Amino acid sequence: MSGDPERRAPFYIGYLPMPPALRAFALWIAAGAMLLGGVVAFLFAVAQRDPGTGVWEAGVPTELIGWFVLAPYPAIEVVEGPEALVGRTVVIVSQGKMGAQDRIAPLAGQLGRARGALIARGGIALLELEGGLGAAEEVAWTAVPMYAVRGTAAPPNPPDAFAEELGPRTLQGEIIDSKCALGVMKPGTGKAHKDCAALCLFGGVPPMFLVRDGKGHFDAYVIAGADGGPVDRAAILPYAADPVEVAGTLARAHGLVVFRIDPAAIRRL
Amino acid sequence: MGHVYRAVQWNANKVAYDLALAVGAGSYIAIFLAASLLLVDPAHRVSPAILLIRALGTCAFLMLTVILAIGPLARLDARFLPLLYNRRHFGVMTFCIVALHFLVVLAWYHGSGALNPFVSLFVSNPRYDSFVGFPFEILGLAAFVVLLLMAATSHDFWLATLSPAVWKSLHMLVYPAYGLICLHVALGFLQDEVEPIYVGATIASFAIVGGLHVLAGRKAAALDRSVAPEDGPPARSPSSASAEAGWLAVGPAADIPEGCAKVVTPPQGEAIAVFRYDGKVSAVSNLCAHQMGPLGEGRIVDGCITCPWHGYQYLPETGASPPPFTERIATYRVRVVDGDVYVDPAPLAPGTRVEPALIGEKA
Repeated sequence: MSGDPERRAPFYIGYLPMPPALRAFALWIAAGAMLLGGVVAFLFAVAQRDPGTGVWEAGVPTELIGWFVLAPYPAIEVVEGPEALVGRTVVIVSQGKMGAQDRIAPLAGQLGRARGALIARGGIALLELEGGLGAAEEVAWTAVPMYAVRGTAAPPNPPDAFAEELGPRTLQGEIIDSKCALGVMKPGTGKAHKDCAALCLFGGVPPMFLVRDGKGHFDAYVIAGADGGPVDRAAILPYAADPVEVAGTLARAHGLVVFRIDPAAIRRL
Repeated sequence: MGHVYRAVQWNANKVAYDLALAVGAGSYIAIFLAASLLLVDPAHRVSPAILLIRALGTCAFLMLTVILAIGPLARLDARFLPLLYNRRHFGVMTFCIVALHFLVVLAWYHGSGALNPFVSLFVSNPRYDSFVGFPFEILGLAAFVVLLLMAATSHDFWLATLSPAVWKSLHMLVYPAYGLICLHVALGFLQDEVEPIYVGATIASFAIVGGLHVLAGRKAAALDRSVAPEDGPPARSPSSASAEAGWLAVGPAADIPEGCAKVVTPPQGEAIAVFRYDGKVSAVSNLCAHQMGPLGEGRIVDGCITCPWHGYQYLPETGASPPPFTERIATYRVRVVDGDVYVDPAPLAPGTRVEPALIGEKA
């Protein structure tokens, strides 16, 4: 026992100066741990999965003029606004984890103005409505330059909810909350985001069905009920962010691809 | 030592220790964030809040791994004892990082919704009946509560108030908390981020913590096996007539290095540290009254048994800390017969004076 090297090692007492031999050892350990920690931090950082190219223009308001529609969730068919959006349908959500049903439904079928932050990914655009009453409001058709310059006396007709049936499909993918998955959160999909997705869907953010092709490309379809109206949220909430398979019907309405499903047909993978 | 309670009894070593901790944790988080933000095409960046959640979470996980490795490392190699001295500060700092991780998660994923964030935390993922789908946040929350309890009771005031045994039991909950955190990582982050480095690091953490504990346990078991209980001192021992049965043979006094101890574990009861010093032998409890540190791995310094963990000191003859300190540990009767040491495994009340046995004493 007397030959035990630990017995010959300097004895450390925390409230006394550290013996030089121990001080050197402690310094090496501290420096080594910090270096290793730095390397691990770097490797962890660069190994993170690419969350995609979603954009959320927070703090940069965009104003869209067009026809408010329910497709089947609040949206606006853009008549005037950024060039890339004219002629397209932009889904509208509120700030936070909330939908905009209550704010847009009274305006459905009317020409109006919506102001907020754009969210965009993969050809799909959302507008996060600003707070306050004026963020979404009706406007007179005569105040819209596109119509006013025609010089016609009669107001334009609201757009037709032209529906094109694309046929039945069985799709594998993920039920997402459109707001996070398309740009507000990166990544806004997967298990770590499940709670947030469920809370967003509960708050009225339009659900979409995300289909990945495994090569980085994805499609997102608006999820509707089998009748084409809003889907039963309570029925899809437990499946949010889980890998699922569901049979339904694809259709195009108001320029958006809608996946009409019966929530009872959702099956976890 | 426990004479007067202060928030922190700072000394140069603690300052250096805490500084190193702060620099280490701060560097880790800064490097993680900088690499994530600067080395990635801005269009493909992870959201800053999620980066912060990941930086804090991985940092806390690594810190907890190191904390759990320090104990067995110090048992395997005494040069690691300086890391153990201020381990409570390491723990509290880790808790602070865990708390920040929790708060950012609560605000980012559960805030600004139609539900109270704390309600959302429990109900947003209802898959409590699934393993892979289990709401991993709840596992993290359970670990957070344990770490909160530990951090809140980390001060010596609580150690004395709860008693060292209760305090130690409470703080042993760090192991279940670590298990919960491993599951939290496996059922959460690792479900989405599948790069081998993340899985590998999690497994490595578990293997390091588990492996070091097994090695330290084997070492302790080997030391225990080296001292088998035997019959008491020989009958010719003049003063052992009333206390022969059940005495433990410790071995030759010459085998105990000067100023050090040999630890014996009786069939029942706590381990006993038998110290040799100045031609004498004294026996005391192996458990320090402070945090139940292994006194037998300590030394005699300035005539006092000195705990290797935090330097708490006891007079070998009485098991009492020198005034003005008030800690006391159990003492044991001890004999030296023909150079062999024997100890009565019946503990005496803490602080009871026992005359040391003289090594030169002839039976």
